[in-house]
Amino acid sequence: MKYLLLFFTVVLAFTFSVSAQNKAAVASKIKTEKKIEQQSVAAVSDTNKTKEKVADVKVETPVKESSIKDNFWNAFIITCKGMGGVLSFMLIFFFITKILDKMFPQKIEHKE
Amino acid sequence: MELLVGLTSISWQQAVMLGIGGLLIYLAIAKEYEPALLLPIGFGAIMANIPLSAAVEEGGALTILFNAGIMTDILPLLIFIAVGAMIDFSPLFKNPKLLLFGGAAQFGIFFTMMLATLFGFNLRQAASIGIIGAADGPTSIYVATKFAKDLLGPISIAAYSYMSLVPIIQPPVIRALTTKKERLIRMEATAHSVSRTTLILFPIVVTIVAGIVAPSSVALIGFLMFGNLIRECGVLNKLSQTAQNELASLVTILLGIAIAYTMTADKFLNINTLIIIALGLVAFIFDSAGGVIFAKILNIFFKKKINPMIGAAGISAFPMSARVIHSMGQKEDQFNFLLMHAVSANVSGQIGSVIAGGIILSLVK
Repeated sequence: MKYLLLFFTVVLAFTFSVSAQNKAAVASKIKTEKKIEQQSVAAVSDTNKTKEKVADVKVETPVKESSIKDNFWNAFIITCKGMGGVLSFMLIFFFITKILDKMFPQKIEHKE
Repeated sequence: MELLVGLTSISWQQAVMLGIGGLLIYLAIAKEYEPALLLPIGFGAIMANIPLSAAVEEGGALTILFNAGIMTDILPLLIFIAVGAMIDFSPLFKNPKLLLFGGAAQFGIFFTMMLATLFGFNLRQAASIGIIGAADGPTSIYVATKFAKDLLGPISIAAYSYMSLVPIIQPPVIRALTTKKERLIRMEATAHSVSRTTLILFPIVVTIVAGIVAPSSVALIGFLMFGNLIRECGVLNKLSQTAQNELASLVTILLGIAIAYTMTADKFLNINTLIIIALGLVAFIFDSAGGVIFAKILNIFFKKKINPMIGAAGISAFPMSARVIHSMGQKEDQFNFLLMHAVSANVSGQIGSVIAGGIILSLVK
């Protein structure tokens, strides 16, 4: 029973953290898209030109250059999340093995 | 004169690649370094680098094999079924806390990924290079196919070569990080038998849990666990045997020769290949180090001490790593039997490497 409770706590905590990360990612994506849209609209109103120019402005939207420093920093963040994730998974599997072993011990099978 | 066109149009790069193909074949046959994979890759490299080779042109045999087998992920996933059918998870149930080493010994993957970015690789390429540290060929190929197809050749060669070099790579790393006293730690053997129901339910539950938490890992872990379910269900013995033998052999041949498509001189002969091969070694070293250091940290909290060498067996190279740890233990004390514990950690490493692959697929965009 204690393993069952611990297991569900870990699974819930991990699921919440993953869903929070996903929500944050979606929110930042929406924010970026809105920003790009606003820039495009601003460019249109400034120049007051045709639709073709809107497309040009969209293409010209500044894209962040991925320098070595940025990549390293991103890799560092992924390392922290990744190692945390792998160890959490293994912890979950630890509880799965414990629970399954408790629920279906070898003895019962022999009796049957 | 037309028959000499091939000879006259050979470049020095192609000549070097023919030599590399020959070297891989030599390593496979003479040194027995993962012959099942290095031999097809070596021969495929020769086919791909013969001047004006029809095998790698559009519609060529290697092109079709690569596009159909690797670009679609079919071959790596089929290998997972075979690997799953070969794994016996029952040692895990004897000492489940050793499962954690399967996670800790994946540290090399992430460390190498960080290091690769410092060499100018972008994040996706760095992740593909780091995954060499999974010590698990199919996972490396699967992730590299998703993130850096052009680097598939050197990544596969590094992954499979270092897997066969585990007996040379691991001992010095372990000795450097442990004292003699630590290497002499004995661990109690546990006689614990596991029910068939448990072994059947384990792959199903693991797939569901892993799939719900990290959907990107469903294909990787799902195919591995499907193979294991075939093995454990007890009613598909013929299929299980086929998966372990014929399927594994056939798919390995096709996988090896298809990878050779990426080994043309223009893609392979550059400084990046050397850097990738060097980084692969770093990944294996830090995997082993991660496992050993994690065991030492756990020993601070545990009453029953764990021999820290067991941590290094948390890599996926099964059963090579377990054997290395056992023989190292026996060298220090001939009555110290670490094999059972090392096998448990090694099996957990096989799950850990696949999970690490799935997590990288989820996190790297």
